[in-house]
Amino acid sequence: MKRLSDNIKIILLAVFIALCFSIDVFLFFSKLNIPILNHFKEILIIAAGLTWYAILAPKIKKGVQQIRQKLYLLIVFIALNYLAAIFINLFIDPVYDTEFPPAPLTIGTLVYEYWISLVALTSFIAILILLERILFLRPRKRTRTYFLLFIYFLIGAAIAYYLNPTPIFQFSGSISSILFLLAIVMAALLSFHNDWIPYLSRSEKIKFYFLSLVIFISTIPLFDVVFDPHLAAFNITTATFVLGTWILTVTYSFVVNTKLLLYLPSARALDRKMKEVNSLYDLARQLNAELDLKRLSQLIIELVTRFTESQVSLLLMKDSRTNSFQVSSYFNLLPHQLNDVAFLYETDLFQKIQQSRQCLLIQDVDHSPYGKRIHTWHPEVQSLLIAPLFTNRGEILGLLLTGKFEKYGFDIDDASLLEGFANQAAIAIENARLLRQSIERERLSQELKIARDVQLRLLPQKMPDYPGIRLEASSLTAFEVGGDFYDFFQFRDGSFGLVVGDVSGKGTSAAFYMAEFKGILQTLAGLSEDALSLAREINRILYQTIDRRAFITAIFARYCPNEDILEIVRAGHPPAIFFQTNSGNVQEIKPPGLGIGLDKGPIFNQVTQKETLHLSDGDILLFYTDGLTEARNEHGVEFNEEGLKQLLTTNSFSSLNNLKNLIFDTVLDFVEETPLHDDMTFVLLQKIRVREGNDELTTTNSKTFRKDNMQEDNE
Amino acid sequence: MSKLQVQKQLSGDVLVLSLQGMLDVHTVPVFESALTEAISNEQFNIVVDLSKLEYISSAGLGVFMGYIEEIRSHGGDIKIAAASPKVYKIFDLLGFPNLFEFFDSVEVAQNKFQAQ
Repeated sequence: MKRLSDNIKIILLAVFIALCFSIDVFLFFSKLNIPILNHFKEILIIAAGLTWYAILAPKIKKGVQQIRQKLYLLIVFIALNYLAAIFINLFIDPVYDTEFPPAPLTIGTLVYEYWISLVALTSFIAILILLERILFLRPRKRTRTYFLLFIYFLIGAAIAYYLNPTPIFQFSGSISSILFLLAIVMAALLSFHNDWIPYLSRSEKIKFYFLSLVIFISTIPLFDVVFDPHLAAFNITTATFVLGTWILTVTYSFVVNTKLLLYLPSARALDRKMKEVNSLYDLARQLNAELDLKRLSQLIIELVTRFTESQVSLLLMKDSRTNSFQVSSYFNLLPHQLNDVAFLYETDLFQKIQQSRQCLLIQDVDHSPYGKRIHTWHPEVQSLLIAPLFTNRGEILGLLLTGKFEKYGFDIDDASLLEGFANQAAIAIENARLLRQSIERERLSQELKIARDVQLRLLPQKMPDYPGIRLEASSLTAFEVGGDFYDFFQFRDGSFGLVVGDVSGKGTSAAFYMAEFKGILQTLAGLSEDALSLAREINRILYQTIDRRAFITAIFARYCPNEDILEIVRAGHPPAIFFQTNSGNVQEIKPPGLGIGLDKGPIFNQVTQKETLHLSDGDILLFYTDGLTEARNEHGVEFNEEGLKQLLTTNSFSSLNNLKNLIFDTVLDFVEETPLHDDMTFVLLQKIRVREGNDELTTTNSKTFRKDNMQEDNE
Repeated sequence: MSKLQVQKQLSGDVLVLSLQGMLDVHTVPVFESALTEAISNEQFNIVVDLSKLEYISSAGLGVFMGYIEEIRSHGGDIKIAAASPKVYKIFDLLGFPNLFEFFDSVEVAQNKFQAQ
């Protein structure tokens, strides 16, 4: 479609020119003066010019990237005029009369005049479009106004000259010459609209300087050598337009050329600055894309070495735990040089950097106050840059050093660039650290979740039925995974056993010790005679595997239904509380004992003793972990054993379940909003009358209990 | 500001470490690094002064267990002195007095070393 319309335009253009030429030939031979034909000729030329503009305008692109191409095109179009003139001069020698506008005396002159003028018209329409594109690369506020005024004045002048033809460069004070003068003023003003120049690179500035020089020099003689007097003879309007544009070209190329010349000396510095800004932006982007700390520190060194063109580079990072600096990455340094970097952070050199918070520039190591120390470290380094890395809270994060083997290898611009880069690097390092922390946290919370699942599965899923006793238990974890546990089992003789324990420490390791404890317990319980031998065996086995810093406190109980006695063994655990319902007497049961995993065996076996209680119907035993008694309220006051004992003596309760809820609620009421700092676990055991219901209970329930236990183990 | 401060004082061949504040899972590294330093300096006769210790958790108790074997293998010992009744109760419950020597005052503990 577009191609077709272009073709139509070209045909139209040819038709306009052919018609125009026919009229001139007719007028030449007929020697007639028919004004209407002159007007028609005028319209045809303007139409031809506009058609050509319509063809050309869409083809010349806007944009900064094509300045060079546009300048080349300008030269081509100017050269075209010269070539056209040289070509036609080979065949025709033009002859005009002395009138103005001059009239051709031969038909050959008419052809000559047409040839020159059409080339001039078409090429200068192109040149005007190119100039417009260049002017509007970085337009100022008035660029558009001036440009439009330039065009309007030129049109005005063209009309005035058409109505009253006079030689264009005879400034007579006529309207036409005033308008043309105004157009020249606009051209002069527009010539200073060349803000695209400062942004050019140095090499472009040099290249464009020569291009604009060629344009300027080649454009000036066009008028005398090529145009005059053929353009005026052809058509005064065309002449006005071409000459106006010619003047714009001359002034604009002159000013641009001069300005380029002025900018050339500073071009190198500007070029560097631009490169710095660009490279800093580029480096920042690269840094932010790297999230792995190790690779990031390598990337920092790589980039620093590259953009400063250094021979050695070093990145030191502060270890927040030891407060010393560690080599994070380096370039071109020997092992002993890496071990000998303390002078960078232990001397006044470091103080100076930390205080100034700026990049330190040492242009000549020999003549610097730190020269001796630096040369002991690295004899070849002659100039040095050291930039500090700061966190966004202003704490020092690290030091970035880069050095060259030549004096004055760096300048102040390098220092500011490295400083900017160090800031970017610090941000990237902080980001990477934060990311690593959040990944670590996520992983940890995932791990804790698994551990918590394990722990919950380790606790009995329901209370066993055992003849003669009733049981209740409650466990509340403070953290995701605590160390508290309880379990029920049977000894070799079928007597009932229970344990309440607390693994030191929290989290995953606590959960695994708990699992180990339960495994050993369930294996050994059925083989053990009594609670004391069981505790001793568990200690003996666990001591071998448990971390030296970890231990388990536990309280074991064994209930023998036939004798109504309860044995208690306390392995470093808080005492049990014995509540005799008949007398209302409350006492702590605290036989001597040692925590499990603290001693290999001899001391444990010697220290740990059992205590035996005789139970009456209704008697209650409370086994708990320290989380219950050490539960603190907002004032830091602990609930403590007295609170627990008081709770038993001052309250009445209808059932064991009732008591359990009472203890639970009382403690939670006590701590109020204060979050638990430790797990809170307790187990209640109450002696009940066996013969109260039917006799079957004694036997069947015992079986049920065994079955429950097996099921639990299978889970 | 850590919740635990450890003051070191060397008198003769006995190192006195005075703990002040709370010894729990968060502050354990402070105490541990003091003991590590003592071992690396070959100071194996250590008295831990607990007169200003307000609280000790199971993690804190674990520190003593973590170092005692090595210290005793070098012929030294950790003696615990001047624990408040509240702190002593925690040691006592666990059976620590069976594993460590406890003294009412730092001087008595120091003298015990010297007597040996």
